[in-house]
Amino acid sequence: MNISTWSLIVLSTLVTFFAFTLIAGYIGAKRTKKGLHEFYVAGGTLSAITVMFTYMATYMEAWEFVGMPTVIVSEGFEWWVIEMIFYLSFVALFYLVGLRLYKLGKLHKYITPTDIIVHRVGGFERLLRILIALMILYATIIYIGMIYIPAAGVLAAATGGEIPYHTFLALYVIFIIIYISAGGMRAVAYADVMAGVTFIIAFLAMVYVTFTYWGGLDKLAWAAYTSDIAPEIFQKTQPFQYFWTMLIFYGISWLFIPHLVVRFYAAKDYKGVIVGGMGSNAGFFLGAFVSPLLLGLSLAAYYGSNLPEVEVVEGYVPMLFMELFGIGPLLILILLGLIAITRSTIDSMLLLVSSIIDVDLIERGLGIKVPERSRRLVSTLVIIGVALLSVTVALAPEAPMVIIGFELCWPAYSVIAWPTIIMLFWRRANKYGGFASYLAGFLSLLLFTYVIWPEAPHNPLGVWEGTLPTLIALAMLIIVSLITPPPPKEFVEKFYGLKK
Amino acid sequence: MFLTTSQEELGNPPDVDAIPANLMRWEYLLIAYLVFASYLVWHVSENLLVWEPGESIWGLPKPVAGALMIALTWIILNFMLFAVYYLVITKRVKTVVWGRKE
Repeated sequence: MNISTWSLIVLSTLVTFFAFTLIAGYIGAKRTKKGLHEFYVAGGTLSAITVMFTYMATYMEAWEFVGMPTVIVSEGFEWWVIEMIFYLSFVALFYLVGLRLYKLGKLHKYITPTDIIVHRVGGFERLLRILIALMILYATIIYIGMIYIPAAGVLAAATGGEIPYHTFLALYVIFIIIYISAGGMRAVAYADVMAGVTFIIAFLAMVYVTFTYWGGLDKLAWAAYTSDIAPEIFQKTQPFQYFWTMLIFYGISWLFIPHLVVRFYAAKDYKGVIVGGMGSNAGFFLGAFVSPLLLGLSLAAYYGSNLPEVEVVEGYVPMLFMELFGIGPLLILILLGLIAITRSTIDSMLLLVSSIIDVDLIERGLGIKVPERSRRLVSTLVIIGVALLSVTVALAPEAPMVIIGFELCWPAYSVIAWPTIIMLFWRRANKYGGFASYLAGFLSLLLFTYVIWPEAPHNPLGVWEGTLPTLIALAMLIIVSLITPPPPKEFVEKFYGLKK
Repeated sequence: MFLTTSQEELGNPPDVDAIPANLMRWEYLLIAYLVFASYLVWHVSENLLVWEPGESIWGLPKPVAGALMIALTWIILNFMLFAVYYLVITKRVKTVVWGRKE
């Protein structure tokens, strides 16, 4: 098999990047003390700057940098606007919810997102841990698989298909498994800082060259808006209620996305949450607004309806870079940025799922005691298992990652997030209402998605896919809590930290 | 179940006690903001997500201008809320520390 020098350079770029992340993993391992709290949430000692980069890395991923520009030309501009809408509610309530999660995390030394849920519900602990673990697993395995798609697709497209998609997929999984198993949350956080810096360099280079090529945002926008694909992509196809439910249900559910929750636990103090939140939200303006806008418009303006042949549609982005910048050092830098952002979420999600299986499912749900000296081995095996299981989602992708996310992943997160956020403030919620809420929400989600309305948006009302199951979960929480006895006063005071 | 013995002995860090369990009164204003955000979403989705090459807002095509309106709203809100929360919680932390000294 003949492989060109350029393809070998792309392969070496990937290997070099991961060599550096392995060093981060090694340093992380050296600095990781014993214990689950240290391994999964870095002992709650991450500074504001580290927290800022980890928050940013949670969101500024392949989803924004590769998925969103792609969806603008493959599905329509409205899908990216929908993403902008979610920030309207997410940013507004970030500090309100984040500070409470930080407070409770510090008070009770939580390790997994499930910890706070089962503690607040205050009963049915084993069953609830298993249920929540299954819900998070369901969504997160799809999520990780979904991000594998652009992670491997981008590099395969950069080599023009010379090195196949599945080869890059295998390499990604192997490298990630090695360094997360070694260093836990500390390794992820250090690698996130490195990814953030690399991403910023690549992003600035992209902005500079894009502006030089197109001559400014307005000219680029008009070039895209008058291209032959424009009448098709710049049209609204979804009803208003779909947009509005994305604002309310999808946007707010992001406040309890499991891999963000553990970052609230990991913050050293309130400044970590506030400064980290402000910095990362400001970063989103570049990563989630400027970057996808410029790239998506560039794709429309440059290709119009003659989009390139690629294995997965996310490959449009590296193809565009190759066309605009040619093969050279700048392109390698941009590829590094792309590798960094595609990687940044996969690793933290793997760590999260590992903690959920390890702590919630095996130890506290099923009651299997794992000796401390075997803990690392179990964690490593769990990471390997989940990483491999998620690959099945990415083996033969049928839709753009963004559509998979909106339709399948986030509805499950919404069913977990909404009742939890309500229970953070509503003290009358009790164990019966809490348990019924998650159970009814998840069951209705599965029924609506796979049995009753198998076609998107999985409801007859034209609302976002997660809306009806979330409403059912909330109705159960309120109704069942009100018709059953309130939670004990002692419990409420202890949970909310009211008892001195 | 989750509270460690060492924490019970040492007491909470001041910032943990300073963050209220309930919503602070002014935080209810965020509900009013969500009403405004709903209007903005309606305006953008119903009036600006169109293909009308002859029309523009701020020199940009309507859909791009609509997206810009949304993004500017949340980024301005971010800095505003950061300042408010930083000042409010820092003040509350000082009050907690002062109270403990007394």
